Amino acid sequence: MKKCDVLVIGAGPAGLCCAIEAARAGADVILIDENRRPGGQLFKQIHKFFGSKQHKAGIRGFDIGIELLEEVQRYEVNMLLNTVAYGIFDDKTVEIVKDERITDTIQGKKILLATGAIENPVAFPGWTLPGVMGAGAAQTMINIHRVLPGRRFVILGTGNVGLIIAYQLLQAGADVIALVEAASKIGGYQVHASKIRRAGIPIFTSHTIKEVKGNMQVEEVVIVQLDDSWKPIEGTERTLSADCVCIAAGLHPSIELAQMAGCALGFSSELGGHLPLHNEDMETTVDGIYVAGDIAGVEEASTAMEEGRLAGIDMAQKLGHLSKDKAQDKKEKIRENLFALRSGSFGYLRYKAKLNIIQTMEAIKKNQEKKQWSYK
Amino acid sequence: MERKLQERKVNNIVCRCEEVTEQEIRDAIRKFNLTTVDEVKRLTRAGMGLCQGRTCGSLMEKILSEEINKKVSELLPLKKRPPVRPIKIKLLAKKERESE
Amino acid sequence: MNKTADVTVVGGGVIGCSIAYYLAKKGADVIVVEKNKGPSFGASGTNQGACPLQLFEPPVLELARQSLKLYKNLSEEIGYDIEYDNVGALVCSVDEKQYSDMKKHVEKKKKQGINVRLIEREELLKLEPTLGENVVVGVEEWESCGVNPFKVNYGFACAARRLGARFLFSTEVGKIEKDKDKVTSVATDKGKIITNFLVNAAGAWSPQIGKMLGLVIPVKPRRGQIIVTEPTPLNKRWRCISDADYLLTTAFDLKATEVSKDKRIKLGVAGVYLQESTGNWTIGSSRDFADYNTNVTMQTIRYIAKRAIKFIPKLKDVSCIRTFAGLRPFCYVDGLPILSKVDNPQNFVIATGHAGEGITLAPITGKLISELIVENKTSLPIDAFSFSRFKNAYLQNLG
Ligand SMILES: Cc1cc2nc3c(=O)[nH]c(=O)nc-3n(C[C@H](O)[C@H](O)[C@H](O)COP(=O)(O)OP(=O)(O)OC[C@H]3O[C@@H](n4cnc5c(N)ncnc54)[C@H](O)[C@@H]3O)c2cc1C
Ligand SMILES: Cc1cc2nc3c(=O)[nH]c(=O)nc-3n(C[C@H](O)[C@H](O)[C@H](O)COP(=O)(O)OP(=O)(O)OC[C@H]3O[C@@H](n4cnc5c(N)ncnc54)[C@H](O)[C@@H]3O)c2cc1C
Ligand code: FES
Repeated sequence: MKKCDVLVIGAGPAGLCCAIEAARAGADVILIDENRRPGGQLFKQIHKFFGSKQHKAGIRGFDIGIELLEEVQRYEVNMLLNTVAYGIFDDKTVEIVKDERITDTIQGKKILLATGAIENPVAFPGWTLPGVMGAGAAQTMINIHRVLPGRRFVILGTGNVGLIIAYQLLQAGADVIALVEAASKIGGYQVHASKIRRAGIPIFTSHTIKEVKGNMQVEEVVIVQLDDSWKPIEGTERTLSADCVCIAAGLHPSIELAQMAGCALGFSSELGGHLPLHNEDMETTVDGIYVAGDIAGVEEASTAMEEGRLAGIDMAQKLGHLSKDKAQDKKEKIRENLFALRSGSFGYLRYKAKLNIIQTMEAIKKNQEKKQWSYK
Repeated sequence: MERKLQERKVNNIVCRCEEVTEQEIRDAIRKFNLTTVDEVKRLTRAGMGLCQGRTCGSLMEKILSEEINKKVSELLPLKKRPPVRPIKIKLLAKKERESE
Repeated sequence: MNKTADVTVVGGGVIGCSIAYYLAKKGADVIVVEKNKGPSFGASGTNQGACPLQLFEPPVLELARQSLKLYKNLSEEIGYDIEYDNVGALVCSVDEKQYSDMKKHVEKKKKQGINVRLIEREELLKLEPTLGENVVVGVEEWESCGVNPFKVNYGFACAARRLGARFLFSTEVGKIEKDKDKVTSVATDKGKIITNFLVNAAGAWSPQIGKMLGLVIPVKPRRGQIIVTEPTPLNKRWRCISDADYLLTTAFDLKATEVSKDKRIKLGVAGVYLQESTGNWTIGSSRDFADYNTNVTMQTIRYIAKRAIKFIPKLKDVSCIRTFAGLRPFCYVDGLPILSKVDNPQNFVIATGHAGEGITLAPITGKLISELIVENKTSLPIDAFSFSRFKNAYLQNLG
């Protein structure tokens, strides 16, 4: 069994930043990720970033990743890659498998769960046909493996992910036939949407995919218009010829390990669904177990990084590596950054949702002891 | 035509691992007045597959919420147990060692 | 608002629901109170659903035999497929030293009228190539079955409801009111139920119900952990294979597990390996006392996995997709069920202590308890399971 001060599960932006902050303060940190390369979603993002200047907007996700990795090395974080954390047990022990053959137990005084998010499936007839895939899978193939999974794409969903994937597909030389969006408005940022429009790709709002047809794989995509209550309008079907459907219907937090650890859950549709309740230092209802990044609410790499830092600093403080004042200073700066990142019309909704999660957590903590039945 | 569409929609597969259809799920919910996704799983096998509901869990929540007229926020997600990824029995059996 | 009922059953597990069904069939007006959101959130939803007849000993054996008979036609009777699966049962040993015990086991079972057959190593391996080289001897028998425990539980509940039984879920019994020597009503967090009879089918939680009436019910939760695998091709002959250790030590002999120096035996790891018709294996199980904790622990899972590979080596390359744990209602005085009225209050009935055998025994338990309440006599003798058997044990305990 290995022991450490801080165990971080997931080496995306949130996990990396937590590991860096905790290690910088002097904690002994182990960071694990199931992939062969660290970075989580970051390395798939070859496009320029959204967010404010200070948050490296305009820099490619790829480059941010490289920068973070250098810091991880500098502060001697012990990084285990190709390593799955398959369970979390009592006494903050985590069971791992490395390279599909070495098993071990790691106990952390503090644990960060930074496991990211899972793509939302959409089940229309034919969704199990080869050629229907999640945006994440498509992104991995084109940006990391450099292969195109098809030639003619229909994309479902116009959040940032859908818009970006469309653009990346174009860059990779594929045909994007159409984007389909159930809501009446495009979900993602205008900058991304206008790129798509400029390329002359139709975006069908108030539409959904009714069915995908094909013998052995996707051949045709039938889309249909939706009325105000999201019911299909008969007779508005149209058939598109395509060999690939990319589903970008949003993500939801990957909370399995948090559930296993017994963390109380909250819900926020702005943040992707069920997520572990946490306080303003990212600690969950279970002492010493923290969450940061998409697991704590699906947002952006920039917020994930700040949340990771916040958790790392709080852990370092509680482990005695940082004075209270010093930690407080750092935390305040980060909170300001987070506030700035959560501005604008989308951001403000997320800010409110986050606040709500923190308040629910406080209320639960208060109520925990006095669970009193009134027997009538 | 309309009827045929309806049929197609409900025979749509929700859980790919266990090949459970939307209709089977709706039937089970109605027959047994189910109120939790864990129960839907027990009686239909949806969510019992290799991915343990990573793919179909959220779809099950949506269907259940429609059937019982509750918001997804009022439902709890599927209960989770180790392992979060499938793991070979021989690896479970070993401790801090390499398996051959 | 107050509700009234002939019989109130506390606990919506397989035992409570079976009782409700057989009572409703006799025309009783039944309310089942269950603190969880549905049935099967207790032990009844965390087991293997194996009913291996040869593992039963008198006095429970007769109950098991009758229960298996009821199971045969249950799907038809309640109009819902409980996935009755005629898997038989093989008890198998990987320890030379157990050979003579297994021979004795066969003789005993034959005397009990169970149609068992001893099978030597070579034949075992020929009939079931998935068994490991180190098996020593096996005993097969084909009266046993497997069932889908969820479907049994929900099937009973649904059939009972059709016959008029009411189910109150998310409702917890917290207090019981008494007048002299009779229960008058049950108080829950959702209101009061005025009742003529009260049945305690609260499984591992049944002592808490007893306590509300000042009774000590000697039951405590005995945790069991299970591994579930991905599907594999179906075994040729046996899909329900038990470790001889289960029979000879861990399941029944509490002392033996306590004093053993072998950590595996101490944790009660000796299993039933059951392959469902879907091809998935459930690999059980363990026995320890951890209060009401239903987490799995890696140490125990490790022993279970290691032991399973000894019996069925090909499992080593099969993936585990889930683990789970549940709480058996275990009578720590003698390990037997408690199916009984008590002296005071007279209208209080206990139906628990089924330990690791409650799925097998559910149908017969429901039938007998319904007879006990409605007719005040039972079609099988149940004296061996009476509550009064504890009186001495208690006095000793207190002394
Ligand atoms: C297509 C797309 C475009 C985006 N564009 C932008 C953008 O321009 N700007 C921006 O700010 N944000 C963007 N985002 C969002 C951003 O990528 C995420 O918010 C961010 O990566 C979340 O970071 P994280 O650390 O929480 O999780 P992730 O980056 O998802 O990392 C989680 C890591 O944990 C690993 N893991 C999970 N479970 C386990 C386990 N049990 N054992 C071991 N490892 C495990 C995962 O494999 C993964 O590597 C985009 C997202 C997508 C999908
Ligand atoms: C790992 C394991 C493997 C097993 N394998 C097998 C097997 O293969 N074959 C077999 O025959 N048996 C097996 N068993 C045993 C079987 O599962 C149990 O004996 C059986 O489920 C007990 O049923 P029950 O209804 O008494 O208890 P439970 O199912 O636990 O039901 C009791 C119910 O009472 C409720 N309750 C408690 N207190 C209150 C209250 N105050 N108010 C309202 N409700 C309350 C609980 O919520 C619970 O739902 C196994 C058990 C375990 C743990
Ligand atoms: S899709 Fe349902 S369990 Fe995998």
